[in-house]
Amino acid sequence: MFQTHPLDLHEIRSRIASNLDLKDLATCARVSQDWNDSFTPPLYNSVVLTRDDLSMESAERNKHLIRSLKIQSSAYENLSLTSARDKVVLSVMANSTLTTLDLEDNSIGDYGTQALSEALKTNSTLTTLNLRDNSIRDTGAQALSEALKTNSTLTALDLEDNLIEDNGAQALSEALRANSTVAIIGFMF
Amino acid sequence: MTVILVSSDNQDFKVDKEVAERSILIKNMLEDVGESDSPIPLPNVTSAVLTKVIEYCEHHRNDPVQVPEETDDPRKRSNDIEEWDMKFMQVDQEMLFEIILAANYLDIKPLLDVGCKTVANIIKGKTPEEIRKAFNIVNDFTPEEEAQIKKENEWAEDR
Repeated sequence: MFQTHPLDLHEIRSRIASNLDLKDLATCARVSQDWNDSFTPPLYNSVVLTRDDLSMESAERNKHLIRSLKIQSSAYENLSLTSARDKVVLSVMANSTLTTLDLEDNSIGDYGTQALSEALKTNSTLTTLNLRDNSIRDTGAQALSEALKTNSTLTALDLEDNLIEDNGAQALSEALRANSTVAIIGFMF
Repeated sequence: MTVILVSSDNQDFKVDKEVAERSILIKNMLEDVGESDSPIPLPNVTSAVLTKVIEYCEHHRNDPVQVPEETDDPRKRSNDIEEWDMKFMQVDQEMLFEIILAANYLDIKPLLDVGCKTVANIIKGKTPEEIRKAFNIVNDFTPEEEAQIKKENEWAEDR
């Protein structure tokens, strides 16, 4: 018989986890405490928030595990307050594992962009930020520009389909002179 | 060139070096020792399991050396098990886990992966209770804890 059962090894359980879909991972996380430790991280590795409010809360509670976060507009529309979404975004951003944040088509606007920019100043893990189609105007672009002057980890910023005009564009192009790591996508200078 | 592997129950297995070197553990041992024909003891592997492992290594002797795997997104990894491997893995559960342990110890990644995929296939679609039953696992959650986890991860179960 076994000296050690392979299912008692975290490494083996993680290997098994990499072959399971989200539904089965969620089931495995309920089997026992050891299994929970092995199957919860892959469950929250790449999170897409849709209509379900609960997943927002779950995302926030498991934010230390999230590497990639995508919030779909359907999730946003279901929230009564935009601040609820912004709060989730900011608290997830504050963790040290998030590398990709996709907020495409979320109407975060200048207000949301300003909050995000503040978080970007101190964040050092995020490499990809998708803000496509978010009703961002010059004020938001200026806030982002300020953040880009101190952030040196972001490599891709997507600003296509926003409402940025001359002042915002100028601020961004100045920021690009100070920041040599980031590439701004979908924007003509 | 051949090497001799000795199982935990002291049986000798004479195999081609190329076959034995599917095991990174053995490959490294052979490199460290240099030219030598002294037998290699494998105290963690029984003859029954070693027979299976060698069968696998024989069949896969000409496979390209392990391509870099483990992409960042584990979901990208395929669940497909090739037909021969599928048949090879049609063993009772105890043997399946013995093979996984041996593959882990001997560092034969492709075999370890096939083993873990086979276990994943057993898990798929089962309830937590069915999984516990299948693998003889004790539920150490209080009902409250389990309910909390279920609630937390409900979003994933609805997919």
